[in-house]
Amino acid sequence: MKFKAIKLFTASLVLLAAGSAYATPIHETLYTPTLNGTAGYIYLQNGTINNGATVKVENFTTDGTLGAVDTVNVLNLASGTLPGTVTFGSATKDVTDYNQAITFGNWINFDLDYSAFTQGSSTFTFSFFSDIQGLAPLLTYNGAVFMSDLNSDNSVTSSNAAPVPEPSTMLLLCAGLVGIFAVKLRRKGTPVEVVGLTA
Amino acid sequence: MNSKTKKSLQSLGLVAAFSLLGTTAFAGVLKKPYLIYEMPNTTMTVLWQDNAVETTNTISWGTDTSYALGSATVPEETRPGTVNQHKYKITGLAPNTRYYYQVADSGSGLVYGTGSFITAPEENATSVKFIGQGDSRSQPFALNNLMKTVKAFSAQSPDFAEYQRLTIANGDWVSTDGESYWTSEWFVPAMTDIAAYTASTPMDGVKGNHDNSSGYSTTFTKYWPFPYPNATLKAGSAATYNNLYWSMDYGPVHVTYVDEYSSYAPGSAQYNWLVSDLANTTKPWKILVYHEPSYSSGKDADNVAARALEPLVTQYNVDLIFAGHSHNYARTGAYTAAQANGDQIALNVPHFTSGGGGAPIYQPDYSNAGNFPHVITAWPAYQFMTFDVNGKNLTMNAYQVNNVSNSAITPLSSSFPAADGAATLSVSLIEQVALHHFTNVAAQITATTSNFVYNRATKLYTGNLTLTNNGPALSGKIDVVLDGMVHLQGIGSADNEYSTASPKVTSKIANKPATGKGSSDPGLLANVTLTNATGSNNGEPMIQASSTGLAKGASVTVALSFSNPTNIEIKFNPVTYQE
Repeated sequence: MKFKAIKLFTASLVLLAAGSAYATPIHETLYTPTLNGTAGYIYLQNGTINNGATVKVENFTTDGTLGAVDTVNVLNLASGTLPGTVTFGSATKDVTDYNQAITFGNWINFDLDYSAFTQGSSTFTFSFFSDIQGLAPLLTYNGAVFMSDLNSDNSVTSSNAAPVPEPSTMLLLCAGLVGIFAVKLRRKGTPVEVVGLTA
Repeated sequence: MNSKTKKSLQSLGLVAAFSLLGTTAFAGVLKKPYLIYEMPNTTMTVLWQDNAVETTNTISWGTDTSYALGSATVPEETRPGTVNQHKYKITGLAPNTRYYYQVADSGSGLVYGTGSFITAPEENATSVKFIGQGDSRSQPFALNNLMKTVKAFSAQSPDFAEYQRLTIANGDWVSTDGESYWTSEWFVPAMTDIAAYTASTPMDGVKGNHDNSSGYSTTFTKYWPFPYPNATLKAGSAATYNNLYWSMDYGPVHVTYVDEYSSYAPGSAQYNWLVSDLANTTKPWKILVYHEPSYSSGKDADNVAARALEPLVTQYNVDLIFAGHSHNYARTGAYTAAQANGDQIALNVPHFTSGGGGAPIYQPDYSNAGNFPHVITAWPAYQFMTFDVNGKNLTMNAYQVNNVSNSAITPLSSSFPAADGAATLSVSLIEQVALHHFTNVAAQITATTSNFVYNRATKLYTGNLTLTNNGPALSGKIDVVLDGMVHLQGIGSADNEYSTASPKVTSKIANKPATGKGSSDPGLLANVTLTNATGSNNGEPMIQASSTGLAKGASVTVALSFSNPTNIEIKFNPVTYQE
């Protein structure tokens, strides 16, 4: 069996495969090899309907370089500064957001921690833009690379815009299983690169 | 001089005399013909008042101005107090048909007045249009200008002509229940537009406090003898009555008029009649009309006693309350118990104040923190309302009449109904409110929101609303009302020319809309727009989720798009309806 060398959002796939049970924290990796060396902005946003949750981004790491935090092109600046904990949520405002310059590397890791949940729904979005104002999206049509909905029934549904590799589903499953094994061996903050077997 | 010449000269003299009279007053007539609708829909009632000289008059009518369909000789009324008054009910007409009529002196043939009207709709009609107004008192020039405007409004097109068919009035017709006030404020010879309007549009309504004297009315009853089922003579009088309540059907609409100056306390004759009236009507749309609002935006005090009728409004599914008394436009109401805050108010029922019909304008209280709770929208204006019933849908528009003068008859705008930049009469929208008789199916629907994202490029907040049907299959159009939000697209652009506040009011929306005094409820969300709304319901935005129903167990997702300039937290309760 031949497998192509693939790079996967392994941790997120495992979580997705495990279903959508609400669990904190949610570990995510955004893989950005096509943006490696590119200057741009990461834009994080949490929007709520009917008293949504407070969300924290924790344990942020990247092999890229963070730049200045933008306080102008945001609606309601979240508290905290990456790579420290950044907290999103407001009793009176709908959207809390965060905009920071970055020179992209190959990956971004973070934990998403929903807390202080009361009712309604919350949507957390992680987006990439090439400009500070958010008019020129990267990787997706609107810049949103990761989106997570915390629903009123405590369920979480997430989606990741990472490109799906070409190998078949069986290869994907195998790679996932290998990935699980690799994660256990991984040191904190180090991405996992899965190299397939070649016949 | 021969006898033939003498007779010719005598005739010439008579003609000259009548001509002279015609240039200074309505020769032979003191009050030109006007209309009321008394039911059934094959009739129309014409009233007028002669000058005590020509006492027997002739009325002729037809489907054109040849008046060839019928005629009758009409003597003066025999009702006590109706000196020189004439009243004739034309019968044998076809519903929903335009007729023309003429009133003339039987002897000389001098025409007192002409007019045309549209008879009431068929009993099973599902669509109808009509006008609402109130508080016409005290300022005859303003009333004239308003009626001139409404007449022109109805003449815009054949479709708009439907509005001519009926006006419902909520009271304070003149400033005091006395003959001289009717002569100086309503039946004013120089106010030709009042005469022209009332000659072609039947006015049905109720008395106000200014038409009332210690619970009774004399001249109001004389000039507006609606078919009161229980009008009661005052002891010792011949023409003074109370218990001036009544009701009427008009196509799909039942209108109930409450006399607030005769007892309507539970157990009273009027209360018992009201219960029976509301319980027994089979019409789909019900309008309750009285003069003093239970809830208004001021400045005249709300009628707290009228709040005792709110449970009946709920029990018998009255669709709206139409009142006046305060001289402006206002919409009050509450949607939740929290907003009601202990006040007795029928939930989800719009309470309209339409009191800008000619009397001096009052400035609204928008605070919801004083004597006037539950205000949602309000506007100081000379105004009128239109009612447009179409099956399960009732659309109401409140219009401001611009540049109304109380000292001169004002010309219409050359771009009427739009303004032409001059001090001329034009019309602009204050607010549009729609009601629907859709079926609330929220109990069988699970509604969830997701993917809620703010786009910095478009400055819009977008998300998804997913409806899952946990009950029997639903067919047809499915709509979702975002309960808890003001439908901002329904707010019109009428300017603040009649605002005397300093600074002038700029928003038609009250503070904490719909809440009671001291309520902790924040009220309706008033600065978020559902930009892709497909309609509204009772002042809240509505969006169609499906046009092909929703099967049992099936889900449908509808995109929501909001404009939210202040990034205020978006809150709403999605309520699903089946059309």
